[in-house]
Amino acid sequence: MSTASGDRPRQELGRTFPILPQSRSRDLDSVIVSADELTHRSSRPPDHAAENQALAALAREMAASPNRILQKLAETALALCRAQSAGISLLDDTGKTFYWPAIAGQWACHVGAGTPRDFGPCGTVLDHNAPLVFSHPQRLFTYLEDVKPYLEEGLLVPFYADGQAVGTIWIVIHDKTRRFDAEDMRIMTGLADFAAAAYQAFLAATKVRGSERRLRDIINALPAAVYATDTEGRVTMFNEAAATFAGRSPQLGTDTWCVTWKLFWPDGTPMPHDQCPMATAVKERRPIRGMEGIVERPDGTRLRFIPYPTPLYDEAGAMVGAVNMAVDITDLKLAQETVARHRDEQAALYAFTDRLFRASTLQDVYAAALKAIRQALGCERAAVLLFDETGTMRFVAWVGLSEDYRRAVEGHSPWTREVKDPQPICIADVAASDLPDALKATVEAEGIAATAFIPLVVEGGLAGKFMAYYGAPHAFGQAEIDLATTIARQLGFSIQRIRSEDERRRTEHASRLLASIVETSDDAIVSKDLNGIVTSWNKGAERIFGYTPEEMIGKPIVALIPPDLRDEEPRFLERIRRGESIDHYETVRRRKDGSLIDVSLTISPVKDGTGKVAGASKIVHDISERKQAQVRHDMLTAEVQHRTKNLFAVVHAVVGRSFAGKQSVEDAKAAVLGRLDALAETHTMLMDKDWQGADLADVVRTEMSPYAGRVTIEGPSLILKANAAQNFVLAVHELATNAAKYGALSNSTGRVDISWSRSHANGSGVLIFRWQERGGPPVVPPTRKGFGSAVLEHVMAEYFDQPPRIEFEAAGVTYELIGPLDDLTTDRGQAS
Amino acid sequence: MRVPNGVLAGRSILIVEDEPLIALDIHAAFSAAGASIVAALDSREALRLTALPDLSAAVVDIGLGAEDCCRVCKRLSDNGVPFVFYTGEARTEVLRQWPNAPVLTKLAGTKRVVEVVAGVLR
Repeated sequence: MSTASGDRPRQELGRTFPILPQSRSRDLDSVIVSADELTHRSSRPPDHAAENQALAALAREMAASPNRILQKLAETALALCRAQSAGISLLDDTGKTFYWPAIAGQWACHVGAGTPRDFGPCGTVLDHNAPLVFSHPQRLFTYLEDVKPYLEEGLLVPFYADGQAVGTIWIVIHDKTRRFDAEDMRIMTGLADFAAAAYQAFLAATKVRGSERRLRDIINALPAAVYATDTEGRVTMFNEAAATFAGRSPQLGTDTWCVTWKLFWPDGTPMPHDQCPMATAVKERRPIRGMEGIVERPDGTRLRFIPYPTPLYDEAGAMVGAVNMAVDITDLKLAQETVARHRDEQAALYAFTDRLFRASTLQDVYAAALKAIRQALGCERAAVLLFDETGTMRFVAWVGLSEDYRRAVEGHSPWTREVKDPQPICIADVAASDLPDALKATVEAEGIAATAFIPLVVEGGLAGKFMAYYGAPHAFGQAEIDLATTIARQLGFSIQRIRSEDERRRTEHASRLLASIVETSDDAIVSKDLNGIVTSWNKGAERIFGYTPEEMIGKPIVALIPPDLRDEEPRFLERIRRGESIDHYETVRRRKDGSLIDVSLTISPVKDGTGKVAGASKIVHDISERKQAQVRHDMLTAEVQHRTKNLFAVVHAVVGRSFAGKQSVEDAKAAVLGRLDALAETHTMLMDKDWQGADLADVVRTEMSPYAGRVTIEGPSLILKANAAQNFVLAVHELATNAAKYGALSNSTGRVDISWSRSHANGSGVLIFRWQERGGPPVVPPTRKGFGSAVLEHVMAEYFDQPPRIEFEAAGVTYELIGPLDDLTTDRGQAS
Repeated sequence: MRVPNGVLAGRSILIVEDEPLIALDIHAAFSAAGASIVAALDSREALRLTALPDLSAAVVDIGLGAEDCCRVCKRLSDNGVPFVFYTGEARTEVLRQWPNAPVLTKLAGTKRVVEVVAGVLR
């Protein structure tokens, strides 16, 4: 940079003095007042007292405030020389410019301005290495014309530091009231020594200020908030970061202890400024470490920070205040909390997975899910809902929901069942959402301000949802949604697993039950393939047919079919192949021992997994008993019907014939009733033996029981056929009635002997029946032949080859029957 | 329908009935109607009696046994003798063979039997 070049703005404080090319128009000497001329000027007498006083003051000032020394020096020069302006010029660091750090008098406003080194009064003085007086120097240094008031005369004295000229001290007159003289020169030369010393002090102070400035720059450059206070806590300095940190401009002198708006402890409780760590550091005169705090800015934003308050001391060791650095750890804390939350989420997920693994019922699964949802998503309430059989979304598990709420929202589903890939739906603020008003009211009434719907997919299809409910609006982050989706997936798998297990258990249980039923069944339950080969054989089959499973499994089932029925099997298989069943088909089968058995068959086709008929299952029910019972029942029914009809006919005959004769109605009535009673007794006996017959011994004894003590009865047990029994009772009734009316039972001494026996004659059985009266009144043969006679003679005669022998001997009536047993009985017993 | 005495006067009726008391009763009823009676109480006797030349009609009890009964009925039918079944049991295999023969159960009563026989002979 040369002086001849164009405009050159100074970087320092102050104005610019551009050097114009035409400045070199005048000669240097023309502006300098020569030393000769100076000495010829009248000079005022020296005022040593004033001078000493001024110098003493200067000396004091230098000791007390080195940073003001230059100004004092200028003021002293002004005063002692009675100038109108005075000042100091110093060379700047570049050495190319003088600047004016201190000016007193009328030019005081120009402090900070300067002149070029190599073209100006100060530079000339340094070049000449001697004090000089300039008169109207602006004639040469034209830029000085801008400096007002007008420079009439200037006296400049150089001063030195470390042998180097570093600047000038000068006084200026602005008008013609006086001119500088030798005395001024003398004073100024003396002051130049002071100036040198002052300069050293100034330099030192500048260095300090420079250092201070550098320090200030460093502190300002720090990203951490830094501020300092005095011992009373008043803030004395702060850096830019501190203002950003506080969110406000700290007020020096009024802010105490802290530059911030509001402070809080980490737990959120308010921290009064005079209790903050900085205050403690100052009051207790020690550094405070290890504390954390929260700062709240005026705009409401908050930061977490760690303060590092440290007391400051001067060289004497006295505390002058403290400095505090506040490190913003908000991001760090956020990261820590995120990590912690991740860890918690992982823990929650792990705990959830573990519980799911151990769950054995759907209720276990739901409980685990509700816990995980609340833990992982930080909601107080949650619920799990599934579609029921009708396709309605129903609550299956919940925490913290009222019955009213559940009833009101049950059934509501944000997705249809067919939707392929349902996505979670988050409502961060229920009040602001576009839910229907009625639903919104219900939700808000339950105290729910935010909610999320997370779909549950089971076996590829939407099966339901789980819900997270928050009491305050909640912004859902992607991480949360991902977590919820993970939980939903796990839940879906678990529901699937439990359902499969339940299904499997039910199937197993059903299988076991079925197997048990088959094994314990009395019926034969047999399965065969389509070729008629036995594939299973239960206990019932073993019992009925006599074959063990080992003997029958793998063998053809035709072994059980009697030869004449062998065509049944192909017919059955034909129908089975078509998918038809055979229901309660009655037929005959053959046991292992060859015996035949009446059975009822029920055969059903058995299908394999693809629905094709693979074989048949057969239930063989032993119906022999039933058949026998049926036969017996039929026989019995037929017999009853027969007997009933017969009985009516017999009674008709008895009544009709009893009244046929000529006896009185009274007698006839008595006879009829007696005969009916006898028939009734026999009827009872016949019923007891299922109509197969009645024992002759019973018939006789019962009929003769009114006459017990006067009758002997001897004869073996003999089962008479029904008809024969009826007629025998009527015959015995007649005999007894006659004996009671006219014969042996009509007086007090008569007796009756009844006996019968069976014997063999000509290879067949014969019955001999004998009724013998004795001791009765004289016998008179009856004249009339009524029904009784008809019975005794004709009816009974039908059962015997020859008619009964009836003797009316004087001793008593004899009635004897001899005849083949065949007509009377089916009993082929031994002869008695 | 009251049968006046002697409605079967001059008629000869064969009664085939194995229960003597009932045979007695039927006998009495037909006698009261003026008929003469022959009675068989077993199938052997019945077959023999079917050969009688002047039989007007027969009352047959199926209780003899299906085979025997059929044989008796066949004989009667061959001889042109109308008959009436009077029975306590319904043996359809027998009844089916003679669908034109009236059937009376033993609950009908002997009076009814006489009426029916009289009707047949009119």
